[in-house]
Amino acid sequence: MTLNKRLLLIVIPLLCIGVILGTYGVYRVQSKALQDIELAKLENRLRNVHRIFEQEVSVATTALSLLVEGQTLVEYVANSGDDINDYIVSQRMDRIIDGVVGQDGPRIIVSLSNGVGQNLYYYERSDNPFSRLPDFVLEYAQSQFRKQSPVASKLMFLNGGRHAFIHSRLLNRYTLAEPLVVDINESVALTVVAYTHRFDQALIELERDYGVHPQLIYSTTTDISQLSASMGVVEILPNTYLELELTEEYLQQVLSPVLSWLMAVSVGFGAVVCVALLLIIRRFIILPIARLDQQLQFVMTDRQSNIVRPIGKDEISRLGVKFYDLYDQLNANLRESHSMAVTDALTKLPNRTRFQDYARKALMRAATNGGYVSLIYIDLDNFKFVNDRLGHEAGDELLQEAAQAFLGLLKHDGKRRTGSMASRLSGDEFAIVLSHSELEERERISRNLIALFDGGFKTERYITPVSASVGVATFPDDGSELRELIANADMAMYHAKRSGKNRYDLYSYSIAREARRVKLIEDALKFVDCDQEFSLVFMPFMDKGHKICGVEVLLRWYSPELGQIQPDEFVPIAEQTGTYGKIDNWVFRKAFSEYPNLQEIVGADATIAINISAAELGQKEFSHNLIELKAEYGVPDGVVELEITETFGYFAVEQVLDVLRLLRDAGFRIAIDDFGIGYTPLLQMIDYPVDKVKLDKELVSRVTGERYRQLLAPTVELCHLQNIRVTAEGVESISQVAVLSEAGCDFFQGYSIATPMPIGALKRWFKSYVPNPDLSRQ
Amino acid sequence: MVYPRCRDFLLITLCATTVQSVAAQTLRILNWEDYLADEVIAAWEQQSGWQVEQVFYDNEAERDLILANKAVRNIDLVVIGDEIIQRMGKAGYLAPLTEQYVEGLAPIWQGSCGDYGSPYLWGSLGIAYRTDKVDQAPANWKDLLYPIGAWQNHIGMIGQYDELLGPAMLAMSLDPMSNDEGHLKRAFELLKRQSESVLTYEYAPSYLSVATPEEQEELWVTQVYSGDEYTLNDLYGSQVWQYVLPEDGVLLWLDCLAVVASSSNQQAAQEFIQFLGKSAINALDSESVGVATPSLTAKSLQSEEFASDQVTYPPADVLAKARRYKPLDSENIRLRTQIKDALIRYHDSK
Repeated sequence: MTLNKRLLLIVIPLLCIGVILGTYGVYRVQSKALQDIELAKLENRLRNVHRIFEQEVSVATTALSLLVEGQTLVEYVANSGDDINDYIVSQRMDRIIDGVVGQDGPRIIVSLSNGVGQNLYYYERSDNPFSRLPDFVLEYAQSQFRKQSPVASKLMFLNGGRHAFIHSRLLNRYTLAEPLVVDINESVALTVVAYTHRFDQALIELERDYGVHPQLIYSTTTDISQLSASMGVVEILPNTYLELELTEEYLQQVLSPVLSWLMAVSVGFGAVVCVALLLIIRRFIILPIARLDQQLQFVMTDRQSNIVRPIGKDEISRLGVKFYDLYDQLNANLRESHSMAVTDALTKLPNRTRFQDYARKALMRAATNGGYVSLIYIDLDNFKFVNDRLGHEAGDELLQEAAQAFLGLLKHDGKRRTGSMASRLSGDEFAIVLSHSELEERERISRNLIALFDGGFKTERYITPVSASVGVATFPDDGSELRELIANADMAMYHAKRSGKNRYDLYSYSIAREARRVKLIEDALKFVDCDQEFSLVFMPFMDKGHKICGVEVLLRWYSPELGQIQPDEFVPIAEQTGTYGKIDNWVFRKAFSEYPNLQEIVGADATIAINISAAELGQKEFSHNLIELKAEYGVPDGVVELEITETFGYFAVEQVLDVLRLLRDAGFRIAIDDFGIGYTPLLQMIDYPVDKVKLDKELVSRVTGERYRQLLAPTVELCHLQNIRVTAEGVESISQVAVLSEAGCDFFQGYSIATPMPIGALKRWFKSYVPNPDLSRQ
Repeated sequence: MVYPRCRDFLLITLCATTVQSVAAQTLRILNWEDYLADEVIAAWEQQSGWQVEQVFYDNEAERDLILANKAVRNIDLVVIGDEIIQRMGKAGYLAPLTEQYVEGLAPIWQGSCGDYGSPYLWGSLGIAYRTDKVDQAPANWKDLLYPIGAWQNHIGMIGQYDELLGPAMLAMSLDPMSNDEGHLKRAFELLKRQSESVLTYEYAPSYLSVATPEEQEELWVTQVYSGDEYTLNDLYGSQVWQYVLPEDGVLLWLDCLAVVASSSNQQAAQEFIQFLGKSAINALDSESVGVATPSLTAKSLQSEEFASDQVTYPPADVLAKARRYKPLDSENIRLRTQIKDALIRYHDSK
């Protein structure tokens, strides 16, 4: 964890520095203090040594005083020469000295000498009974005589670092008092020497302890305050100083344990503080952060929907609270946008995304639990018509109400089923996902759906001629994956549409096959080589007098991949896929280019009837193109007849009427094909720029039957009244011709009269044609 | 240490008595303990009408200091060894004694007390030992000076310069009165070594009389004067102590009676000395205290048992080999005194 590492990287160096600085500071202070302490200790020691010295010195001075005051010496001096007194005085001396120093006292010498340096009496108290009077004693006494000083004392330096304190008094031999005048003959010197062996021992100990030899310095000028701070000094005798220097080595030696201790403590302390600090920071800062981090991790990996809302007033808790609130808000926004993303704005139905999601889930459930899932694709027929004719508002209203209708249908569907969802996929395409346990439920729903559009669909403001084409694909029969099912439902729907709309189709293998075929044809059409694959055939038609007036131009297609494909198969496909423009163009070119031949065969006033798709009428370029082509090939006016299928209902559209008028004005004649089975209200035909009406085969067979025969004449009359000729298609027999011509039909066309033939065959046929009403086709 | 106390006691007593007015006439004699028979004193007192008071000492050096101390006034008589009497007399501390009062003095003792004293009693310096404590009886000074390990801290010596050095020299087969510094040095070394085994340098009768029963049991072998064994046995209450004359050198001493120069009863003192010199009195006194008399006449008056005691009256051959304490020169005395002091300090410092 980087915070941890960072912490370590920051804390440890800082702490180290702090501790080191602190330790150094303490060390400095301590070492100064220690130095002072050592100096104080040294001075104390020196004072102790001084005390020892004084004690030993005082032995000499006290002993001397006692001797002077006591009678021993008096007697001795008085009776000097008497040898028994030597012994007596020695014994007495011993007792006196014992009293002063105790049994284990120092070595003491007492000497009585005269003015000429002769020793009169010598006493020594020591552990060597055989020792002799040292020379310095007499010398000192002599020097005293010379200097004429009644009292003198001195610190003697002996070999081996030993010292002795020598104290001497001159006495008048008779009075034993201090002489007023020092007379060599009349005075004696009483000298006491105290060997300062305890003092010497103390000096040795000082040297051992401090590593430096203590100095005894005689100086009249030493000013103690001038000495360095590391020097201990004590005045042991007037002008005699005992000095000891605190050497660097000694101080080092004293300081080094302090230093080691300090370092150990500082290291220990530093470590403890470090650990404590780390633990505290970890506990109170890093841990909360880590916890928050973990919470966020949970949320990110979806283990939790949101972090636990922190309680607390500290910064991390506040951070956590902010995150919690933010995330809550984001979640809400997300849900909302998600909801918006899966909902169609207009109809409020779920959109394609949601539909797929739902369908997937339904499929998974069905896969696990069994049952059926049906995708019901709904396409509104003639929706474009509504949008164009009634406006987008109407179109929107239609979609909204259709959606409501679907929802209502699903909701109120009485039979029990598992679940369903209606959705709008796009434009005028809807889909229903239906989970059901019985297979026939899908058909029931589909039937009900179709039924919704019976007699058109009524919205609030409009009645629209809208119906539904419904395609159904069911899991598991029609596919196991969503993709497959969608494709198959779509296919079924398209099949329903192609098959006439306002119906439902259940996906089947044949639909699939058909769809495949449609696709093949589509593809073939895309890459069709018109000159190679297309050919025109001509179907002559005759008038009442059985005279051939013209030909209907029909397109034949031989695809190298698919073989012969019928026009009623590929034409709708071509129209839907928009390739018809290319075909139409070719057809017209070819037809126009063949016109001279046709003229030759049929006659100068031959009519050529060419089928055009009503869809193309919507496009202005088409009409202009056509007019150009006519001009290009020099086809005279009134020759070409444009046959337009009625069923599209496009006639209602003003735009189309304009184009028709344009074409008519350009010299084309307009004929409505397959009349009678479409939507065209007869009354509206008044407005139409139509020259001919071709009665549909079905209508023809029906009106030539007994039942509706009487309708024929009026119908024809109606057309005639509008200056519209009538052609009867699919004429089967002579009798039919008779009926039809009696009713007033102008032209007749059918297989019994002539089959469509290529130009060569036509020529041949025409040669052998005899306009005989009795002839039926071979 | 008994002797400072003794000394103080003596001084106080002596000084005290100076201011005291004496009711009856008293003769004061500075003497060893157990060294003057009560019957003798009683007889004299009866005869003379004088009271006799004894002031005791147990250390010769101390005695000498007392005699030399001018502050001391009330001592009339002193019992003092013949090795120092002449010196002390010459120094003026003793009154001259013109007559010799002892009858039948053995020739050996003639003139020994010089001009200042009359022979009193004589004896030897020897070794006393506890028969119940010691496996092997000491026979000579060597046994004492080179003691066996078992006697560690059970030995007693007399802490006086002649009593220490004489035997030490004898143990090394040297002349006990030698003033050769080399000999004295060797003696000093020997004594120092021996001091590790020494329990006390106090005179045995004094030591044992103030010792606790436990302390008493610690002293097994000790240097004593002849006759002290009776005192020790009396102290102990049974005959456990035995006195032996060392084979490697017998030292003989003679005590003299002297008159203190500062005495104011010199006449009476002399008369007492005379009294004591009488054979019958001497004989009684001698036998009573258990110490030999220098008077042959007095000896003949003593009991068979006493007169034939080999320890009290050593046989002639022993006497022939024995040495007498000689007066030493002051340098010798001083040196020996220093040796004694150093030795005792050495012993006490351990």
